[in-house]
Amino acid sequence: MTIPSVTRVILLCTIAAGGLVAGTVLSGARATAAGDVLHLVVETRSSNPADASRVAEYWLDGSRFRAKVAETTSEGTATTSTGPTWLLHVPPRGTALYFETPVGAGPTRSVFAALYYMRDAFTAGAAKPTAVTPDATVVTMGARTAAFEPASGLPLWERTGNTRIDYIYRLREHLLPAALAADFFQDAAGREIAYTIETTPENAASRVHFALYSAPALIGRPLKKTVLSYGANRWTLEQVGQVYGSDIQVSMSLLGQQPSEIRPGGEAVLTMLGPGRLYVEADGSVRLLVLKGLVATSVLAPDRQTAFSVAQVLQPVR
Amino acid sequence: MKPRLGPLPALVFALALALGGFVNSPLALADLNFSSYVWLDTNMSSAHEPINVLFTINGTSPNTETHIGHHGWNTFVCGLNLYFYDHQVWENTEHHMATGGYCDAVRDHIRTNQQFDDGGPNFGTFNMGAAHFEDRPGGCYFLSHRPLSFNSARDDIWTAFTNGGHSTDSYYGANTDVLTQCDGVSVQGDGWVRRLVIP
Repeated sequence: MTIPSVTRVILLCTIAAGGLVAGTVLSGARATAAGDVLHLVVETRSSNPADASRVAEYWLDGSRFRAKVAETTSEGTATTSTGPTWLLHVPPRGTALYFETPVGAGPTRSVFAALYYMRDAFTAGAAKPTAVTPDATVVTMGARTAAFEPASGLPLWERTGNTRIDYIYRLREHLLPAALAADFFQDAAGREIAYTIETTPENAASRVHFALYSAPALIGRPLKKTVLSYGANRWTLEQVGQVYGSDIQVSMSLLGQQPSEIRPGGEAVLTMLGPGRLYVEADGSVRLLVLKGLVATSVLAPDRQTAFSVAQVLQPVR
Repeated sequence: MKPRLGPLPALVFALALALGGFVNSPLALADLNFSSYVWLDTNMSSAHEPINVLFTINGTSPNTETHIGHHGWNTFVCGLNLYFYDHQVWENTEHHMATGGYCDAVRDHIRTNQQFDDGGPNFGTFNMGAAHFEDRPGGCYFLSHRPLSFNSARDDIWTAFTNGGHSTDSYYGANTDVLTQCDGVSVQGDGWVRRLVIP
């Protein structure tokens, strides 16, 4: 994906403007309002001179995320950003992951940011508060101590052992979506840059490029969870996992390439989803695997009859 | 008189050899009859990880460990074992390798286990591996760490072996179970299994 030149100019201007407020943290900021895009230029400075200095620019729109990171080490400065060959995984909770897929090479991955890591650890109860003020919540988790803004969750500083890292917000602003190109949060294939979210079958169906099969309940088990993943790698472009009760799972995947082989073994069967193969797992549960084109459907059930019954009642989500 | 091949039969013979070499790849399917997951215990609790890497041909445990370490996963870590199930036999994890130690914030980690048979013709001794990328936020997570991604760790080791000149291929195994952790966060593999040749 390329950013239109006008947008690039706007972004460059905002980066330049951000330099004017370097070293300041804007207090009293609100969380990203619905529809707003939170735009950040953040410098992280480590007390350890061996650490690389880093300036990261983020655009956050709810679960959508773009970033450009300039990292300076003893070997020079390298700039990376999301785009056609770059993907970010920023889960609602936990560590942000940066997936790098250079053209013509295998995928690699490195971790570059964890903006909300300690806020999330605190929310989950894993990090304990040691000081709470209107401007900062200080928490500890193991050997790590960190402070974040209560209102936004953005980190202020963190310390592990003798190393302290300060987060210096050079720019922090809320943009209207109109300030960005329509495809700003999309990759080259037109998919939104995101990785895994928990959602509803209807929302998942609207995002994937295959007919998603689902049901409010299966054989008496209510639908408990729907997990949507996409952009993970070149082999599986989109994936929806559905958990029913405690013993039934339905997974559908849009594969990026035709598999040369399907899972070994199994028994050829005919299901309501089409011809497939049936496998008995080590715990005695039964898995139906149906591959139609590049869409793989997997039904896991406690026994053979239940598996076929599930395949019979699944319906495409409209 | 010694028979000689004319130009055309020789060409056909050469093509047959070439095609035969392609079809009879060392990575041809074998009787891989094992569970697609490793389990927390033999009671098969809900905690399990997909087996997403196979080390083949000379995939003994020492060879596998040496090659994994050579390609950057050079921290041997011990910890709670998970159980591999193969041919109706349960066995604990034999080896752990990782890109970081127990207390590191994030790392790639793989559990491996050598199997009893040769996996079939042209497959050799093989090791099964369950790779995952994890952090250690503390709290109630799966084992002592929290798996964040099965795919990325598998692809990391696949990339390392590919860049190191190892032959690789893959098959779709559909081991896509959703693992839901104590904090409600779920992680799911994409169902692909990478096969890496240790010559």
